[in-house]
Amino acid sequence: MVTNKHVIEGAETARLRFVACEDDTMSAPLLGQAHHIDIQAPGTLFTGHPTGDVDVAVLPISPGVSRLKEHGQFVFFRAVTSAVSMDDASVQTLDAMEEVTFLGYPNGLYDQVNFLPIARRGHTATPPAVDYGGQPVFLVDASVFPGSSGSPVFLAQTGTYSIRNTGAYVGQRVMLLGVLAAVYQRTVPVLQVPTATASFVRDAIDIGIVYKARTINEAVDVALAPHGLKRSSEEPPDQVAQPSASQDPLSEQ
Amino acid sequence: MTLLETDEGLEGYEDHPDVPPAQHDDDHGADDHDRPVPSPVEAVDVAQALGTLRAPTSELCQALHLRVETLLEQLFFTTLYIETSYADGRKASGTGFVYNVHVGGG
Repeated sequence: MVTNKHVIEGAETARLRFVACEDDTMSAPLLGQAHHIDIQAPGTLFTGHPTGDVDVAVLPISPGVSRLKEHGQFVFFRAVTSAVSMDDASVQTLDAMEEVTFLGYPNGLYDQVNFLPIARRGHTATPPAVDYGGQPVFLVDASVFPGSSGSPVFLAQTGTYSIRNTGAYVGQRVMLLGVLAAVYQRTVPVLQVPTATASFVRDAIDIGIVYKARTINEAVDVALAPHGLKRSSEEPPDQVAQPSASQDPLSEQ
Repeated sequence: MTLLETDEGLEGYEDHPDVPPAQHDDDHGADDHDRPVPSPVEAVDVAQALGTLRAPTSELCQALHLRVETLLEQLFFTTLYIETSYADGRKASGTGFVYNVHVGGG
C-alpha cells in the first residue's frame, strides 16, 4: 500500500479499510460491508522514501490480507501495477497539460453506505515531465482538500485521446502519475466589523502537489532491500502508453 | 503549502464518523450476532487486529453487488480509507492505494 509519510507518522494506530468480497475470487465487491486491518504504531512498519522530504511511504499488506482470508474475511480491491506507473518512457507520451483523476476521502468525505471513495478531476498545472522546483513532483490544478493525502493520481482516458506528437486514438489508457500529498494555501485577511481588527484564514488555492510515481518505486526498493529482494518487471514498461481497448491494466492481486 | 491531514479544524470529520456507534469493537449490540467473529489471532507484523464493518443500512437492503468492469469503475477500488488515532485523542484520515510489484531475489 502507498500513502504519505505524514498520514501515518506519529499515529498510535492506523485502520485500513477494505471493501468486502463474498469470496476470494475478487469477482465483485460486497458494497455495504468492509473489513479492516488495525496497525499499531504504523510509523514503525511503513517504509518511507529515503529522501526525508519526499512524502511517500509504503507498507506490504499481503500478510494482513492473508490473515483476513484465514478468518473468512475476503476483500475486494484493484491493485495498481508498476507497469502502469509513469516512468521515463511513458512520460514522453504526455503533453504539458493533461486531465488527471484522483480518488480519496477529501475532508473525510466518502460514501458511508457503500464505503466508496470520492473521485475528482483536474489538470496538470506543470508539465509532468519536469521536476517542479527540482523536486520529484508536479502540480495539479484541482480541488484538493485535507483527507486526500495519499490519493493516487491517474491519467485515465476512455474514448478518444491523444498521445503527444503521435495523434488521436480510440480506446483507453491509464497511467499512475503519482501520489497526492499537499496543497498550496494563501492567507486571506478577514475584516471584523465593528472592531475593524483583521484576522486571517488560510484558503486553499486549488494547486496540489503530486509526488511522481517513480518515488513509489524508490520507496519500494528501500523496503525490499533488507529482505534481499528487488523489483522485477512483469510487463514492458511502455505497454500502458500504447493505445489499447482491451488491455486491463489493473490487477486483482 | 500545507499537508493534507484532517487532524484539525475539520468539523466534518466529527459530523460524519467513520464507524457508526453500533460497529465499534467494544459494542456488543444485536448486530454482532450476524457479524463474522474472527477467532483470536496472534500478533503479526502488519495486522494486529482484524474486524468487520457494516454500513448502517446493509442489514435492511442486503449487500449490493456491483460489477466492476470498466477502467473507471475499477479505479474506485484502488483506494483504502486510512483512519489514524493519536495519543492526544486526535483522529485523522487519509488515503492509501494498493500498488502491486513483482519481486525477485536480489
